[in-house]
Amino acid sequence: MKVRKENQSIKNEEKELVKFLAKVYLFKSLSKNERKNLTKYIYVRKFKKDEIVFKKGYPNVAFYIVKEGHLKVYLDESKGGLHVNELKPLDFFGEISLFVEEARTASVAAIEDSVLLAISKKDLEDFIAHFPRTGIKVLYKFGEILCSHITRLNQKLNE
Amino acid sequence: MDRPKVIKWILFSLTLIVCIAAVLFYKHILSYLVVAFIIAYILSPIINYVERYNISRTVSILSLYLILAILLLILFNVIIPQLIRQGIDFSNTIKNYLTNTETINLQSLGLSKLQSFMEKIETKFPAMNIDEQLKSFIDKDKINDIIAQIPLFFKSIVNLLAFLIIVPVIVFFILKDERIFIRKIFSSISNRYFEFSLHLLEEIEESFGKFLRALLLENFLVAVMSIIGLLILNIPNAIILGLIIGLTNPIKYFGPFIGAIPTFLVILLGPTPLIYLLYVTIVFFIVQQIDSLILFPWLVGKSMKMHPLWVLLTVIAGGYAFGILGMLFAVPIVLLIKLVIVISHKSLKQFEII
Repeated sequence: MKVRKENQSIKNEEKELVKFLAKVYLFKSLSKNERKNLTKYIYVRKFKKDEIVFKKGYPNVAFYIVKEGHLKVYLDESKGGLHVNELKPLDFFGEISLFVEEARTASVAAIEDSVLLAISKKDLEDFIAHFPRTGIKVLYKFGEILCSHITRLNQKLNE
Repeated sequence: MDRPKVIKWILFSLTLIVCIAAVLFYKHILSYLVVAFIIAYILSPIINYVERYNISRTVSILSLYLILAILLLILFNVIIPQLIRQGIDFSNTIKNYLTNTETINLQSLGLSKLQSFMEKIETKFPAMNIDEQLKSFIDKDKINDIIAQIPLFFKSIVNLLAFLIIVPVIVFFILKDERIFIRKIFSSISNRYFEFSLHLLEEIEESFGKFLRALLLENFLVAVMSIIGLLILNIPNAIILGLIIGLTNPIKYFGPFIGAIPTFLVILLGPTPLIYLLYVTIVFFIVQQIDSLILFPWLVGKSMKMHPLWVLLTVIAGGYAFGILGMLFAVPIVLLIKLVIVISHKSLKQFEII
């Protein structure tokens, strides 16, 4: 009886995760089934207030999507912490890690209790190898987002 | 000590006790588990590869089992009988030799030149009674004992059967739920060590797999080259002799010599002309050069370098501790442990844990 309840709650969690993924821009073009496959490659990580996700200089391992909560991106802790950016739900960060071997370029810490979805580089590679059609869609979205970053920066430079 | 710390301590010791109890409880199965893990580790790339074509893991594992079963059947029906025939042939040659010749000396081994040389030495140093020593070295009884011990191996056939049934079942579940197991472990790791452990596993997996596959391929190729060489020279029992060379090849420095002994014995005791000793030596020398100059650097890589002295000591220590198997596995295991330590140290540093 208890086991069944537990299973039920796990299933509910999975359903909720699938629903949430539909809202993430990166996975917008995926079908429900494809998102369901993707959930098997995602770790749900809970962070308390002030907990550090990663620091500048750590190896690139995973990228994260913010599900709940609020996080800050900062550069140097010792110099009072230069604030670069703030992350709200549906934002994602650490995407550079998926494409570049080098170390993290900034640090991220939680401002309030947060829930993050983590996908490791290797798991994403596995996912793309297993579901190439879905993988192409995700990679295209990545390209789109990174290109929009570039154009925005170009505009800023021109101003 | 404040309260939460006490509770932490109690929980920690309880966990430790449970772990020890679990190990004690499962200790008879432990060897099965180890073997199953190794087999699963070797097979998992195949299953992962097949999964890409949208074939479920259960189906692919079962079909892999079927293929392996067919291969084993072929092995037992075609190759093993041949190997056994060659093996019996080989032991018969030695046995015949031992029963036919009353005294064993260098003359009867066909090394008359060496014999005369030894005699010359003996006249100079009469204390060295080489013939006697050789006689006691190649004792008939000793060799008969070794041959008599072979049936003992088959007495444990009941154990073997249990092994053969249980291990595939364990392997099946490991292969099927591999990802679930790994995810469960990672989900339970705290945030501070989450990225670190992901990184560590990736790095270790990558270099482990590379190293083991390279080592297997290297020695397989050495065996194949030796077999081809022996077949060209038309040495009897070429396949079994080549396999022995491939098996002993991972033993650094000593391996090639140990592996060559059976071949030399076959030539010495069999009908093959003695000049073939030279040919075979040349073949083995070429194979060794190809192995150490091309295969090892190309496959295993230069990163796996150990100081020759260290290698030598490791092989000897392995031999003392676990016999011939110890010699075989000592260097690869030490290399793997070194690899894990180096990678862990690097990762711990990178993540500022130490």
